[in-house]
Parts: sequence; structure tokens; C-alpha cells
Amino acid sequence: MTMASLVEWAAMGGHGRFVWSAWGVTAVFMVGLALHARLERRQLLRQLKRQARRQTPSPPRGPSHDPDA
Amino acid sequence: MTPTRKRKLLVIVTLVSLAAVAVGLSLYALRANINLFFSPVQIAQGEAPLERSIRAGGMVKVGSVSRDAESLNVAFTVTDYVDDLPVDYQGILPDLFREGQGVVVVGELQDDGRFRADDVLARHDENYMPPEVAQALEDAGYSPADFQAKAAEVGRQQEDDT
Amino acid sequence: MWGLIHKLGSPKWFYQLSARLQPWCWGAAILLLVTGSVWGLFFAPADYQQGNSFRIIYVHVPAAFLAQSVFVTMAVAGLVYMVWKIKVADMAAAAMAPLGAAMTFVALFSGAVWGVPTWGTWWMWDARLTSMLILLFLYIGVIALRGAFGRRDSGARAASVLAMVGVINIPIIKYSVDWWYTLHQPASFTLTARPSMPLEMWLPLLIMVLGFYCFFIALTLMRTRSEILRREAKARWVQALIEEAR
Repeated sequence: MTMASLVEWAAMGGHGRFVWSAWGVTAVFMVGLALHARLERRQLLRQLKRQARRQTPSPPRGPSHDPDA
Repeated sequence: MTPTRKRKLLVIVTLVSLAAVAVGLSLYALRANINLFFSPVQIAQGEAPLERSIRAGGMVKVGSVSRDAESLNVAFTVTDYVDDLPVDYQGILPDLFREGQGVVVVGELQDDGRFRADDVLARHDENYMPPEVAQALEDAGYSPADFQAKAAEVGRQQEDDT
Repeated sequence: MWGLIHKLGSPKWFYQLSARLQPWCWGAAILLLVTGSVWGLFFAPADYQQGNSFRIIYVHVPAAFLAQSVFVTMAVAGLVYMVWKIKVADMAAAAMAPLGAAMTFVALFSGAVWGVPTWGTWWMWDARLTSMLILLFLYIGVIALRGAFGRRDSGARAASVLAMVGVINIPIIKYSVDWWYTLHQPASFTLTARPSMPLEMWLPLLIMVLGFYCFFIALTLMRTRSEILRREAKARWVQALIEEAR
């Protein structure tokens, strides 16, 4: 397929701005929603991990390991 | 289902049904106003007001379009195959305006029974057709007015073939 | 059957069941959407009258279908929540509302853009367009109501009630072009009637519609699962899940 025929296809017989604005807005919403859902899940898991770590009791303190003691 | 749930379900269904009836009655009462346009029959029966911006709609009568050679004046007839409405318009018609196709005109009904259109909108039907099929129909001698019926027939034939 | 429904009502079971379903839905969605888009934009013929602006149908119709279906699903979920107190139903309803609203906007926008070269206007207050605009406002209302209350279940109940009452708008949208004179034409593509366009035009449309529905299911499953984690964070099975994920 040539560059010229690709440009011709994109022009959509003069209706390019209609076709591409409609398809463009659709794509933006769908991709946006999908990415947002993935991001939301990742952030949530990270947040929950952080909260779980804070609640884990810290390891018991043994005798001090100060070499100068 | 427990009795409480049954009762709750009944309450909800009843309330939604009542709301539906209310909406339905309102729509029925306002049905004349919900119609986007007056049909030629309604205008012929005097249902449309004069000296007010209204809309009329129907099909462009085949053979009725006459354009003035020197100006942008154009006259055509809108029909619903029962009554006709003569329309005068000054301006550029939309691309999809053609005889045998749907149209909506916005403007005022005149005393002499003619409609002065300030705006003309093309109204297309639910049939779609590739250009080759349209060309084949045209070559076979069918006018655009027949296209709609033919498009439906083509669709039917294709379904029978598959 | 009641056993299965009862199981789905359990957040833990829903979470685990949907985990297996999700990748298939996403896969199907991507496959169908890519195939349908390429077919619709490249290979399908243009319309003899509308030319290439006809190709807007391949996003406009699926978006409009989804806008209505999602609202009905949301209303049913609201009913299930109100009557059977199943929390997962409310979580799913909350998850799908933004998608429904987005699809309604996409349908209105793509329709308006399509109207310019075909009708000669981008808007008309006919029954179909007006009722779709009302649908958008109903979605916004449902989303706003859910977040407007201090207590989660108050918001959930208010949103459910609005969804259940608002569902009356759906048959109005659907039959508006049959009941009244409108600018918008009657349906070309329905579940029951034969499409009023040849095969090479409606097949890509069918594929796009299916793709949009798979997208809806996949996205809603993902968002509902996030909501489950959020609300059930203190539960043992969630804690165990987080442990494993470390």
C-alpha cells in the first residue's frame, strides 16, 4: 500500500474530520477507562501492602550489638 | 424468598410501575408536541399554527424540485403520499437532499398554504447500500425513490443466499 | 441455580471466579475490536449516499447499545442489592456507571458529528436524541448520588432507586423512533429483524457490537474486583492475597 493511498484513505473522501473525531473520542474514552482501571488496581494493591506491612509486628529486639559496648 | 424480601420486591416493583404509568400518561398527553414535525396531512387538516416557527416533514415528491437559474431560490413539495405541502427555500440544500428521500423543513406556514422554509434538513432512512449496488440498480433503470425498497430487498436476498 | 447466585454474592467467590473469566474477556474484546475496526474503517464499503461518514456507525451504534444495556444492568443490580442485600451487586453497579455514562456521551458525540454531513445539523430536539441526553443526566445523577452521602449504604440505596426509576427511559429511547416523528431514523440493526444493509456492511458492525460488550464485561469485572479489595480489605482472604502478592 502506497503513502498516497494511505493519505487518501485517511481523508475519508472529505469526511475525515467527522470520522476521525468520532472514532478518536471513542478510542480516548475506552483506552482511558481501561488504563484507569488498571492503575486503580495497582495503586490499591500497593496501598494495601503498605498497610499490611505497618501492622506486622517488628522483629523482637535482642541484646545490643554495639561493638564498643 | 423471605416474606420481608417479597414485600420489599413488591413495593419496589409497584413504585417503579406507578412511575412508568405517570411517565407514559405524560408522554401520551404531550404526544403532539413530542413529534418533531407536522406531516402534510396534519397541515392540510389545519393542525399547524400560522406565524410561528414550526417544522414539517415527509418525503420530497419526485419531480417536484424546481431551482431558480439565477438565484438560490428553490421550490419543492413535501408529501406523505396522502397530502402535499409546497415549500419555498432560499439557500443551499444539504448534500443528501434528493427527490424520493425524507426531509424536515423548519420555517413558517404562510396564509396561502405554502411553507416558507428557513432551514432544510435531509432525513435519511435506515437502509444503507454500497455504491456498486446503487450503480447496478441505477443501470437497471431504478430511480432513487426505488432505492430504499430495493436496498431492503437486497438485504433480504443476501440473507436468503447465506 | 440459587446456589450459584448465592456463591456469586460472596465477594471472595466473585473475586476468584472473575479472575479466571477476566483474561478471556479482555482477549475477546481486543480481538473483536481490532478486527471490527480494521474491517469497518478499511474494507467495508462506503454508503452510496453518505460516503465514508457512514463508517461512524461502527462506533456510534455499539456505544448506543452499551449505553442502554449498562443502565438496565445497573438497575437490575440495584434491585438485587435493595431486595437481597447482596453487596457485590452494589459494587458492580458502582463499577459500571462511569462506563455507561462514557458510552452515552460517545453515542451523542459521534451521532452529532455524523449529523453534520448527513442531516445538515449536529443537534435536534427530537425524541431519540432528547431521551439519550436524559440518559446521560440519569447516569450523572446515579454517580453523584452514590457519592453524596456520608454512609456508603445510604448512597448505594439512593443510586439504586434512581437507576430503577430511570430504567423507564430505556424503552422510551428504544421505541422513540417508532412512536413519534423523529429526525433519527428507525433501527437498521436489531436482534430480531434482518439488517437493512448488505452483509459486508453489517458483519463488521456485529463484530464491533460484540467487542464493545466484551469490553464492558472485562472492564466491569476489573473495577468490581478492585472495589471488593477496597471494601473487604480487613478480611482474612484479602490479607492472605496481599501476603502472597509480596
